[in-house]
Amino acid sequence: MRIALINPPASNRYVHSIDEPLGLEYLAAQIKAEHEVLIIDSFSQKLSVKETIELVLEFSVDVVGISTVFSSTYKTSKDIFEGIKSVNPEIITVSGGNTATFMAEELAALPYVDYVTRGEGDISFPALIKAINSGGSVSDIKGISYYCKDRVVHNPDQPLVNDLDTLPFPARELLPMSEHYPKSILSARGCAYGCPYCSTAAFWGKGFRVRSVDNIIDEIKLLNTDNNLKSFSFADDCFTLIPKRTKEICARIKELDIIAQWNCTGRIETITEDMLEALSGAGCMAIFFGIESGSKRILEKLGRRYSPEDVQKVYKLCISYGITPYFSFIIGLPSEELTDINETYSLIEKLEGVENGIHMLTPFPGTPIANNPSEYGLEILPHSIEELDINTKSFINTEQLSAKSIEEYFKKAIGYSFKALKRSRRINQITAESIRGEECG
Amino acid sequence: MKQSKYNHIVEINQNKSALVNTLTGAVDIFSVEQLDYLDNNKDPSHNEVVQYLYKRQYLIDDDTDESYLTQQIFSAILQEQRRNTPLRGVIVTTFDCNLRCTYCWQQHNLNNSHRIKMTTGKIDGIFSSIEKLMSMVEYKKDTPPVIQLFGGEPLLVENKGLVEHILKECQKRHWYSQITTNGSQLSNFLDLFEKYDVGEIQITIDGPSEIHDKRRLGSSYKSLMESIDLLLQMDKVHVKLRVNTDLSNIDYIPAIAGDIIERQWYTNRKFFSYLSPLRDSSPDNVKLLNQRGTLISKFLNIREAYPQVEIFDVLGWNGFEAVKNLENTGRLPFPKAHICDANMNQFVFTPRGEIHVCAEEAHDSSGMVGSYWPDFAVNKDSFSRWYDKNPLELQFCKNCSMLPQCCGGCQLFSQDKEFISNFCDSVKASFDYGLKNYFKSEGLI
Repeated sequence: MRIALINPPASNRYVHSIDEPLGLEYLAAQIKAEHEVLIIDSFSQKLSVKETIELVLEFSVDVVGISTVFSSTYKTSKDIFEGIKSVNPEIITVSGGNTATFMAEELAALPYVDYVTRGEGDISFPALIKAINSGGSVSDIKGISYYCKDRVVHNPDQPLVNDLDTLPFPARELLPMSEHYPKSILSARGCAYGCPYCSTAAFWGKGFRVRSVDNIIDEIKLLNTDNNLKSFSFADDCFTLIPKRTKEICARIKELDIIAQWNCTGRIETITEDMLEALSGAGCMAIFFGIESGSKRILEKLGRRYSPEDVQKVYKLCISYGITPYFSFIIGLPSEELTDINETYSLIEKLEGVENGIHMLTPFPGTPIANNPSEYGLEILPHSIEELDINTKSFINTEQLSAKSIEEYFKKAIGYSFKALKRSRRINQITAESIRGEECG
Repeated sequence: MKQSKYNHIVEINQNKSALVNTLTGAVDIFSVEQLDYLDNNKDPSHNEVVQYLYKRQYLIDDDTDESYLTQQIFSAILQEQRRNTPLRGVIVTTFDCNLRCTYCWQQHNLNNSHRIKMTTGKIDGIFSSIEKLMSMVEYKKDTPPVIQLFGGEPLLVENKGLVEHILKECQKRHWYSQITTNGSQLSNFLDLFEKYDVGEIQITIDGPSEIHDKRRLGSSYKSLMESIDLLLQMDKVHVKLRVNTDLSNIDYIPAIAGDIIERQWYTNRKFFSYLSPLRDSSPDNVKLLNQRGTLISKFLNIREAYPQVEIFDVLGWNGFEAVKNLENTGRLPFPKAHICDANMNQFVFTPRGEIHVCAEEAHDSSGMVGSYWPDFAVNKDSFSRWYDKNPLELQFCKNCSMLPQCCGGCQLFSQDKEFISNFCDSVKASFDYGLKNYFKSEGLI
């Protein structure tokens, strides 16, 4: 069969970068041997809904799969399905990805969506393709939803892939202009923390599943086949979660003697000096930290095992090891009061010379706050899925703050973030101190 | 020992003052009694304050020729600045403009100047002139020249062919192109920007609709913002948003910041916005300069209450920019060492076929330094009067303590002394307000 896998355009995007559609490349890798697969990255290539539909129709496909990861691509995904079906109802449409998983009931009921794969699609999607190709039954395929006999049928969940090493490497060669994309590597799946504003745990499962270090190194070697890998990033939710493993990966990357620089995600409480030494020595140039709040009280409520002072220590350590830390904060967290927000402002101001991303608490589908708002003292305001955005509007009244005031505090936080970014005094000081330290050493 | 002539004292309160050396960048807080040692420093060896003042070069040896040393420093810095600045060619495509902004400094020149038209033949002459002019100035050799389209208004629909011709020539040579526009006819030019790899477009607003639409007669805030949305969707074009600021619109700056945040432009690395005080050289609006100190003071209060205005940079605030550098880096900037762009490495080409070095007097033929059409010629003496003008020899500036950070600010001011005192007052007031605020916000006083 001819199968198009689409990363849909966003209706409202705040990220202006090109990102490798890793999920689609993983799925493509599973089915490419038996089918002709085309990956269409409308998100990064800025193709409109209309252009995407035209491309699909031109390719004369049998099946279209759309990865609806973000809320901002929810409507465009539906529009693409509808457009394709209106021209050629014979094309089978499959929706998948994070947002699709949590909107499966609504999506599967739409006349232009044939199937929804829920959760990770590594097993469900190939099984579904096989059934479509052979005309077989889908009733035994786990992890899919579909409309049948006037109702939406949700087959039982598909168990997670336990051994991630069994998965083939992403089929990057099927992504047009792949050579222009920054490379991403998923060294693990899932997250152990289960934050109330995040749907990762619900999508990937609460456990933290890791690939073997050998398997990760093999993928890096493959990316560096022509000794031309300049940069990559670890797209895990938390690359530093298991320090021993992180350091082992770093040591193995260092042995490769590659020129590539890379970045990853981290958690403050996992960062130590010897880990930073290992990361820096292996070419790590930046670490992204979700700090969320500068209030000790709020951090404790979020189950964070670090204080605002710890954040400053890690900031200083990262800079002294030549690694740029990036931090992000959320305004409007459950039970947050103005005094807490002022503490967040204060922390942001201290994190000079680096980017501090500021966002508003947003009830994305699948997140604990969206599923049980009252448990968190939240009132979710009426909204459509595609409207949800962490940077433009608040959709939440908390017991302490109105949506309107959250928006105002968010704007102020953006200001503090810009103020901190413009300032380089602390970075100059830390750099000078670490140079002096080296000279003394 | 004697005092450095670049010592500048800013009174902070009854008991304390800041002492700044605008040449060395030293900044300290002293008590009134300690400052007395600047004049009374007969016995340095036994006085810690005098020793400190000497160490920080507020006091210098009697035989130090500070003017000579300053000249040496300025020459070295200026040479370095020129070698690190790309050659800039400013093409005035027309002096005509479709707007009639209430404060425009060019307005009084429109009647006659706009009648002479730019042509594609003249544009070809400009590009071949730039290649000849390269030998006359120092500039950053490993970076392509920058061509800035200027006016009047460069993006008038009737001039689209000319604009395309300029952009095509830039692309052919791999030169960087910038356009400074009022943006009102932008939608008619969008197709050219990506086609010819335009690097940057600068657009000016004066406030939200209720202010902008009244002051920039013929322009609409709403449609401008929509045009910027379209520009930011393009792959390569950078957008620089200039917000004209004065006392009548400064209260609206937080609202404009809010609009930018809601539109998420601030997340786009191709977007840059800044606040700019209304022009210094407007002959009809001397009061704008007189208001500058008050404007800074008001801005600092607004910034305290509405930190979201930090999304704007501040450019063109002579005096305050030095303090901004102090805020951001902990140091005053190096001496400026040049008066203005006219003694860097810039050439301005007008529809009359004239070559100037100052864009603000390009309508006035008496300031020309040469011609590019019908024939290429440069008057070296005229050019030297601008390019080699030494800020240390400006009559009204050479004994000013602010000179290293201000350098006269604008050659037009230094030639036309009518506005000089207004300008100087505004620089000092902006610096002093800014510095006091800095100490306060840092908890140092």
